Amino acid sequence: MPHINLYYKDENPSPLTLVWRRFNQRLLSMTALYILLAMILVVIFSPILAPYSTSMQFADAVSLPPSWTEQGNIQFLMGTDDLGRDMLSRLLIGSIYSLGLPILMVAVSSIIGMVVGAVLGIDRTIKYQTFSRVFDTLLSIPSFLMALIIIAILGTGLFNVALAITLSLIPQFIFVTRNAVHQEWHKDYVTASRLNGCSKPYLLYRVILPNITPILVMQLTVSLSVAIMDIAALSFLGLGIQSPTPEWGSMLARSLDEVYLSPWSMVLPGVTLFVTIMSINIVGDSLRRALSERVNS
Amino acid sequence: MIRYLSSRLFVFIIAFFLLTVFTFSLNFFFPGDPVTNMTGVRTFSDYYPVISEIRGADKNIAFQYINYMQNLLSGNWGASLSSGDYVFEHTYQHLFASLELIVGALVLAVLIGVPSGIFAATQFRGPIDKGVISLAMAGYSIPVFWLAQLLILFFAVKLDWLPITGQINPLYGIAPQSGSILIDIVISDSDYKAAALQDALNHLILPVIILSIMPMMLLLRLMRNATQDMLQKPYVKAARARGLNEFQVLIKHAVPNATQSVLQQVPLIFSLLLSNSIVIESIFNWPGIGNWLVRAIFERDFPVIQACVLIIALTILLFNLVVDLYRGWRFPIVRQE
Repeated sequence: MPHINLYYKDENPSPLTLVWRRFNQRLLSMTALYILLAMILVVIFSPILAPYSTSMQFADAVSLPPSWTEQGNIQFLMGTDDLGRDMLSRLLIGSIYSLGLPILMVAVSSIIGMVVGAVLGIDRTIKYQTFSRVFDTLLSIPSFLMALIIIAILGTGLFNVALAITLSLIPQFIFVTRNAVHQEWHKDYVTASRLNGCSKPYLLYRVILPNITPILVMQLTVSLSVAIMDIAALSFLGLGIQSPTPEWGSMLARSLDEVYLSPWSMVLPGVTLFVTIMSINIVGDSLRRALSERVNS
Repeated sequence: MIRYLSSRLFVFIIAFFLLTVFTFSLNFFFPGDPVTNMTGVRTFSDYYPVISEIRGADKNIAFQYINYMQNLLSGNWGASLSSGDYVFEHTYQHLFASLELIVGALVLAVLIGVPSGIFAATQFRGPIDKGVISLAMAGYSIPVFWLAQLLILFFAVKLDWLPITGQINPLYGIAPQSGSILIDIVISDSDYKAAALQDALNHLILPVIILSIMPMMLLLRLMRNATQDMLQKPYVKAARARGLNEFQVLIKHAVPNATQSVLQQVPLIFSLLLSNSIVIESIFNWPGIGNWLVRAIFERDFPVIQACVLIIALTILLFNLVVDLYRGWRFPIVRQE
C-alpha cells in the first residue's frame, strides 16, 4: 500500500537537505560525486584490489606498455614502469597517499579550525575590524608556501609533509567558520534564540551550526582539492613523500626521466590525479551553486 | 579616501610587522644556531663571537628583534650557507626573474580570461557558455606540474618548436644584471641583441602559458558569474529601455560593476599564481625566487629560505595593498564599508 499522509505535517527540511535536493538535480554533480565515492572505496580496498606488491619487480616485463596496446600483456593491465613494477598496483596503492592521506589531513585540520573559528565567532570581546582585516591579509599568503616553510623546519618525509599540510590548512577553516558564525549572529532567528535564554554552546550547535553547514561542507571540498594538489606538488619537487612510495606526484616526478620511452608512466598518474581533483572541484562548485540558489529563492 | 587610505596602510604595516616577527622567529625554529640562521656565519668561524655579540644573542628577545629589524631594513640579510654570497644582492635578481614570468602570466590571464568571461556571460546557459565553463573547470583542476610535463612533451620534444629549460641559450653570453632576461638583453652590449631577444622570448613562451592557465580560468569563471549577476539587475534593464544597444549596455554598465566584485578575488588568484610559480620555476630551471627557495630547502640554507619567504610574502602583501587602494579609488562603495 502506498504511503499516505493522513495528517497535515509541516515539512521543514534542514538547510543541508535543501541544498542536497538542488544538488541531486544535476547530472554532472551527481556523476562527480559517484566518481569521488568510488575513489574513496578504492582507497579503502586498495590492498585487496592491487594484483601485485608495489615494490615487486618483473625482470622480463620492464617498461611494458598498457594492455590495450600492441605490445601489452593482460597480466599487467596498465603496463609496468622502468623498473618492471606493475603500474596498476602502484596507482591503486598510491591512492592511499594521494587521496586517503589528504582526506585525513583535511578532517584533522577542519575539526581544529572549526572549533577555534566557532569560539572566535561567538566571542565578542576582541575588537574585530582591524583584527579581521590583518587576518584577511595574512591569509592571502598561500598554504603551499606555509607547507614549504614547515618542511624546511621539520625536514621531508611522509609524516612531516602530512603535518605541514594539515597545519597550513587550519587558518582557512578558522577564517571561514568565524565569518559564517559572525554573519549569522545578527540575524533575527539567532536574536530570538538568545532572548529565549539559550546558552552559548546550545546556540552554536543547535541554532547556528545547521545554517552554516553547507558553507562548511563547501570549504571542506575546497581544502581537499588544495591538499591533494599540495601533497602531489611537494612530492613532485622531491620535498614530500619519497620515491619508493607510490605517491602519484612522486610517480610523475620519476616519469620525467623516461617520458620519451614510456609516456604511459606519466599519463596514467596524471590522469588519475586530474580526475580526482576535477570531481572534487565539480562537487564543490555544484554545492556553491545549490547554496546560492537556496539563498536567492 | 584619506581615511580609507590610512586604514589600509595601517593594516599593511601591522601585517608587515607580524610577517617580520614570523621570519624572525623562524631563526629559532630552524635547526641549528639562531645567529647562524640569521647571518650565515657558522659557529666555528672566527667571526662568530663578534657577530653573536653584535646581534645580542645573550640579550633579551626584544633587543634581538630590534637588531634583526635594523639589519633587515638596511639590506644586511646575511650570507648564504651554501655559496657564501650575500643574500640581499642576489634576492632582487631572483625576484626580477620571477616577476618576468608572473607579470607575463598575469597579463596573459587578464587579456584572455576577462573578455571570454564577459562573452560567456552574454551567452548564458547557451552551448558556448557551457563549453567555455566546462573548459574552465578542467583548466583549473589540472595539476600545474602535469600540464607542464604534457606541454613540454608535446611542444618541446615531439614538435621541437620551443626549448625545454632555462632563460636563454648560454652561448649568447648575456651577463645577469637585473635578473630579468629581457631587460638584461636590452642593457647588454651584445652584438646579437635581436637574436638573443628572440631566443629569450622562445624560452619564455612555455612557462608563461602554463603559469597563466589556472588564473586565466579562474578569472574567466569569476568574470562570467559576476557579469551574469549584473545583467539581471534592474539598472541594466533601465539602460536597455533607454535604447542602448547590447554592446553599450555591457561595456558601460554591466562590466564596470562586475569588475568590482571580481577585483575582490584577485589577490587570491595572485597568491595561487605565486605558489604555482614555485613549481613551474623548478621544472623549467628558471632562476627565480621559487626555484631558489626549493633549492635552499634541499641545501638547508636558512638565510636564503628566510629571504625567499619574506620576499614572496611581501610581494603578496604589496599586491593586496595596491588592489585594495585601486578598488577604494575607483569604486566609492568600497570606501563606505
